Amino acid sequence: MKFVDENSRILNWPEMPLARVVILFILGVYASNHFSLPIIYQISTCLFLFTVVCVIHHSDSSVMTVVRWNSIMILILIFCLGFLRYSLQKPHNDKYHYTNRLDLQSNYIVGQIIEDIKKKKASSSSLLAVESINGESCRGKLLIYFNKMDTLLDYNLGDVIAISGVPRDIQSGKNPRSFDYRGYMANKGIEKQIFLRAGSHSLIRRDQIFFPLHYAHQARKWALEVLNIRLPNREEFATASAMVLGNREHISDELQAAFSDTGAVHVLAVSGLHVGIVIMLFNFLFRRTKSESKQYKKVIKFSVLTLVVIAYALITGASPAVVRASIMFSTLLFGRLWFDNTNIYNVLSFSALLILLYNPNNLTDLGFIFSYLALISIVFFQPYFMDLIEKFYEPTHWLSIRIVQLVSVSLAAQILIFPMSIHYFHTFPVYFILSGVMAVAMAPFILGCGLVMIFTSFIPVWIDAIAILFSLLLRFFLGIIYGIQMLPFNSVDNVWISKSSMILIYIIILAVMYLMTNKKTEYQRFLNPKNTARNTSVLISFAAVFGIMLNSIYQTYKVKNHCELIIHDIGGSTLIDIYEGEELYTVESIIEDRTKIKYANRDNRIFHGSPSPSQIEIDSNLTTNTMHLTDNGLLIYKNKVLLFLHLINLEGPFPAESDILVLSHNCDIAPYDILKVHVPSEVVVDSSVPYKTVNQWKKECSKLNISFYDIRKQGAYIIK
Amino acid sequence: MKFFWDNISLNKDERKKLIVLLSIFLILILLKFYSVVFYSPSFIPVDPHILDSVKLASIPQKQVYTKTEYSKYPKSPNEGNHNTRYKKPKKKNISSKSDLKPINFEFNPNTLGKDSLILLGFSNYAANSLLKYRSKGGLIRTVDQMTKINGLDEETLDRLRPLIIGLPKKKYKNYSSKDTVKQRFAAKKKFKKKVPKIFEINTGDTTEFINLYGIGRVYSNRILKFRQSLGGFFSIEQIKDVWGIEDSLYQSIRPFLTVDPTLIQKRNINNMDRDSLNKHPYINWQKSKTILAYKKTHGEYNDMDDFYKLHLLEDDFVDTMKHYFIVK
Repeated sequence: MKFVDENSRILNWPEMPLARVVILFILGVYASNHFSLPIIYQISTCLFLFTVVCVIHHSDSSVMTVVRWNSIMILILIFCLGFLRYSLQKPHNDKYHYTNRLDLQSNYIVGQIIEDIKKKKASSSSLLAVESINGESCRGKLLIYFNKMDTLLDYNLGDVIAISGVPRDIQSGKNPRSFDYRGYMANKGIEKQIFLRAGSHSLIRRDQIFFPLHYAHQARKWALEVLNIRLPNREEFATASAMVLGNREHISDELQAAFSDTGAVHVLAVSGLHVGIVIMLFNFLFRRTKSESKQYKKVIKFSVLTLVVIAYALITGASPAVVRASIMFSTLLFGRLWFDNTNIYNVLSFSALLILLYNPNNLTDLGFIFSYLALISIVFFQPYFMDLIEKFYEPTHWLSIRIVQLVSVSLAAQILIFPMSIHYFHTFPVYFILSGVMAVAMAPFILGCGLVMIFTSFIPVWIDAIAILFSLLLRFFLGIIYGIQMLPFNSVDNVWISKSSMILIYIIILAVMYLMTNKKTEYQRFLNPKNTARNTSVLISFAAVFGIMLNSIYQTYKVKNHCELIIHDIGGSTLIDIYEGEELYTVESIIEDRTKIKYANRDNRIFHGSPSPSQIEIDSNLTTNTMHLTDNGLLIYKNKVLLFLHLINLEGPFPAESDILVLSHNCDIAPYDILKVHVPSEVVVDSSVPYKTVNQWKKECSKLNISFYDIRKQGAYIIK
Repeated sequence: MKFFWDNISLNKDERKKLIVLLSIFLILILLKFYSVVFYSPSFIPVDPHILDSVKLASIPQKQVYTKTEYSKYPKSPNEGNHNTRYKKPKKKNISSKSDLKPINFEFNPNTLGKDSLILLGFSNYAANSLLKYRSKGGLIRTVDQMTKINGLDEETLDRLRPLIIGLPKKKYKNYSSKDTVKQRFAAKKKFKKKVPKIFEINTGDTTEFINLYGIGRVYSNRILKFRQSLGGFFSIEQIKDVWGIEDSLYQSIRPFLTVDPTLIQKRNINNMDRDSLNKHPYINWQKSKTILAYKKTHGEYNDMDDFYKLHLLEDDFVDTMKHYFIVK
């Protein structure tokens, strides 16, 4: 790592005052995420605190209590600033946000297209920066879906269009433990979505987006075209466009799976790694000017490198991840070049502070968290791993030194990342060292070669040669990735770590980090009674281990004694999971799109220890501990009688009453006569039933005072 | 406690620097506060005609024409039989005065179509009488003239009064009695009917079509929609293919239209699948099946002339298709 000095690696608390600042700022943002206060109170608090702090500081008092309380006040002020910053980000505090000016019946909205139209089978989607709504000016981002009848959409990036309709809330997954899509979009600043009817949109004028972004978009298009022409193999083109330009559109599911199984998926998304590599490549050009004694040389170097970073960020589409990485690395460069003895954690904290000040939503962005965790982890643990390896083997050849460095980097990066990645993605790549070393080693070559190819594409013979070379490189890289994927036991799947366990693991890691940094104090013994902080950290880590054990025991106990019936919300079909301890019975109608099932219940199944589901038919004869199935459509589950209407013979005799009447499997039966002879205490309608029938049943149930549950609207139906 | 104070307190230098930093942050955050609370973003006002057409397209058509209500319980001959599965619920007659909640939008009573009038809250009868009045050459010049429409109650009229726009201004002068008949005739002769501009139909927008005599918002939208699904026109006569445009109307608007076939968006026939082929107005499922079957057996098309080999497709049809498809 180029940016790290030997003496700045040590995690020394007093040397990094900005770490305190950033931690309190984050706490403020986090608190604001959960509570809200009127903005005017927040601003007056901030101003009041600021004045008090300034006055006390100016009085130059040297009384210890005053000094201490002044530092406390400064920290509280930082907390308040974090709170205020996030409050300003909330749309309901913004008077001119379009969500505050919506009409419930119909609106006409004028806005600019700020994202290329993505054409899919069902509908095309794009993103609109709203300019006005019902003739009043406003702002905000709106997700729009064009009707599939509109086949020829000739809108370009930057066009201003008028649309009409009613924006609706973005729907989250409504099944237990499913992905919170709404929160994810809100985090990106997108609050609502609108489904347009055919023809209810019209071009108003051709325009351009903000000009640097416009030229960047043009440049990106051109660069993609160059890659497209020169790389005939689709897989190579997809990899190259993702790694060099950050365009992930062309990546197939197969390729994506290969990269994520091997744990090398981070090289596919342009992020801190790529920006770092670009800086490294250009830094290579400045090697001669190593003695950076003169001020003007520093200025030139810094400004050239910053320009390169900005240019690269623009050409990759200025996605939030790249902008973040650019801010981070520019700050790092600045700190490294201007201040001789900088503490790298201090610089990192400062860059994080800048990023959060720019957009506090980054705090809940996994990319942001992962890149900082990885960087801290590498900076802190890499020297230890290096020492550890050198105890057994001391590399002398330049190649072996590099390999040892890369191995220690990829080992170190995993330490702070693995708890969170398991918590969110439930898999752990086994051969991460192998793939990490190969990916990180190959990435500079691929990136460099790709950039050279794009920028020299006008030289006739040269470009053919370099295209062949590039293609070979990519082939080799993909070969390695597929090779690693083919190894046995390539990934540990379906691991569930609860949030509390994850936090406990982090506490252990922090305690260990504390122990590691304070090793070289004068107290050498393990449990020295005088060194209370050391002892406390040991005790805390033991307590955390104990906590994790308790947690896992509790979870196992809970899963073993767990009985649950879930009717999922899965568009257009029926999916019922019945958990009974470690057994799982599942009822499915014909589902064409298997990925729907994955989104609906994958995480919930992993939570229950991913039992292998046994398919049952709802009209078979089956009796287990908690349920009893009969062949005429009755399911008796935990003393509740569920009646499946689609199995009932309407000509024959009819059961007089049931607890729950379930409409599933595309059941299209009108309610009128059935409710006359049969009185359920609740009616449940699942997502496969046509809208018309749902409305009829809803009306009738409200007339007869029967409680009605619509899975489409209210989410999965659960009997515990 | 000492541990806490040691790790929390800041020294003098740090405090000084932090205060400078925090004052910068405070200023930035206050700027953001200003922009959120006080700064209203600017925008360029938009032609209300475009907004109207967009808004009309967004209203579901079903609301206008049909409204079904199911009778409470259809009587069944014997009580035990509850087979309602195959019974269709009775439909109520479509009431002349729709139960819909009327929608308010600005309108011109001289150009608006029947469906839109009903959306505004006109009864079926009132809408018909207004259309009839207009079809005889009548023109509504003042708001008070609207009271003469049969079937329009005063309540609705009062609601609609502020929404009426685009009434023709008075063009006749107040002639004094001294003017001779000849003078009046001369004055009348000076008045010229607004002549529509000649324009290109592949690039023309709704307003240009609406300027033509006999083409309203509905027709112009229909033409644009047809053009969009087609890819463009190669001949003016294709306007007749738009649903509802009669030959007489076509003849009257024809002099104002030009066509430039080079503007047609050509699509690659080898990339088209069944669905996208069927969306083309000139291709029915039989033809698309033939086209795709040839591709399946012989591989991709090399030349548009390959189509002449397909006996199921008429030569005229292939000639037309050459305008819309290319082979890549």
